[in-house]
Amino acid sequence: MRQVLCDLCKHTVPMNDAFILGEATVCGACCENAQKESNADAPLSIRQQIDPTVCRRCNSDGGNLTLPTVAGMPICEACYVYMHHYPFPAWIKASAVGLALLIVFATMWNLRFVRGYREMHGSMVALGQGDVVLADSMAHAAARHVPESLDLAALASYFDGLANLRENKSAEALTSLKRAGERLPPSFGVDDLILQARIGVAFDNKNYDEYLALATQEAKERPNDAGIRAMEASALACKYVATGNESLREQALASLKLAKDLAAGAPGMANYEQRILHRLSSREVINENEFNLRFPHGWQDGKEVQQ
Amino acid sequence: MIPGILVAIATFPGVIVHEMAHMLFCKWRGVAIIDVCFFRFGNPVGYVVHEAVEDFTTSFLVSVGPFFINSLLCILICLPAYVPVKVFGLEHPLSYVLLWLGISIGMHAFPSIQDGQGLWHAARKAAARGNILAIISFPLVVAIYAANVLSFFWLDYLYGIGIGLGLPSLIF
Repeated sequence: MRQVLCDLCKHTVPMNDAFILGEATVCGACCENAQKESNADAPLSIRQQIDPTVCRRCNSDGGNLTLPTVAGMPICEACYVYMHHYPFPAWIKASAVGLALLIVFATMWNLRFVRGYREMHGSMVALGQGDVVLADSMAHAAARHVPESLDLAALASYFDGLANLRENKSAEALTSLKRAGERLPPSFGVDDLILQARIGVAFDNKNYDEYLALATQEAKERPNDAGIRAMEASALACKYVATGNESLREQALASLKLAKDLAAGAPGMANYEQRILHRLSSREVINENEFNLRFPHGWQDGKEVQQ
Repeated sequence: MIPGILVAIATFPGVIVHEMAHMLFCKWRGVAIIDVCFFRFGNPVGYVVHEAVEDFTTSFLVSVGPFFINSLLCILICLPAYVPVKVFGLEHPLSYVLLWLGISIGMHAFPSIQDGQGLWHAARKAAARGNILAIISFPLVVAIYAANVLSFFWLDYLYGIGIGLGLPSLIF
């Protein structure tokens, strides 16, 4: 530790307790007196002296050894090492570990939602591209990953409904589509699909009055749709089978002609036409599956097509 | 107006992470640390006092380190928590806790005014000397300096909300 002589009182004091007052070295007491006597308008220039042999951090005395400095302050070797390897407090270390674990946990916990989102998005893209099978599987995968999402459940139901309609399971399709219709926006066309399913249910239940009523309602709304016109012809044919009313037969043939004209050779129309003509000819109503089983090569003019 | 100290208290994890990042970069670059406060009820709410740094790379990393660390943590925490809440409308308390934590950390990503000013002066000096990093990072330094000036308008807090909620909304 270094000692200095006070220029005013001539006492020797530790350097760290001394000040530079203007040009003079003074002890603490003299510095305080000088401050009291000074004019408040002209503040004194006072700087504390720093002993280069005493550590400013831990006050350890380095004897005559001049200590290294950090930020202009003499620092002993131990404090020098400490300041260059300043330790993180234990609670900070624990918090950092906790935060890292939380991020890992949150990522794992939320991963199924991210997967669900990606599958839902993929399903929409596939649907837009007309790949209904892929869209179906992705929508169901999304619903499995996020079972609590009513929207995803509705989307899965929508595809269930489509699949059931394709397989002529109208009752199941109607149930699924009604569920989907509660959540999905109108752009999915669920109302039209529900109508198709209701028509299918009416046909399956041999409720030809309702079948005809629904088909006629659809035909009024979409008069230039070949499929709807063919369905109207089918309903009229069913009603003819049930009643034997020739007028219904004539109406069925007229609707069928209109459908054929509108379809202009569209695939699927030929099979539908054959089924309706068979119905009118035989006065027997059979569904598509049975018709295909019975007439695997088609039916024309009262007889099975031979190959 | 809501006092800044109240916002700092409500978002205290961000303050702690900010100072932790400062300290981490100081230790990494061998800068002596004189004092650290991770959080307190005062102004500033946290600080790291370290020795003066002459090297621009070190100065840059120590000043901007929290910006990168806080931003990264904000994104890592908010991104997965965003999907159940915003995409599927599932209001799970844990998701909200994660969003609060992430946004709190993001809101304290910006270097403080002292950091910004120090970096600004160091960058100008270093760029004048032809320091490549200073030249390359100058636009970022300018942006940070400007953001510091605009922190009066809560831009630093808006940044946290932006990367915590805005960025995921662009992805999902």
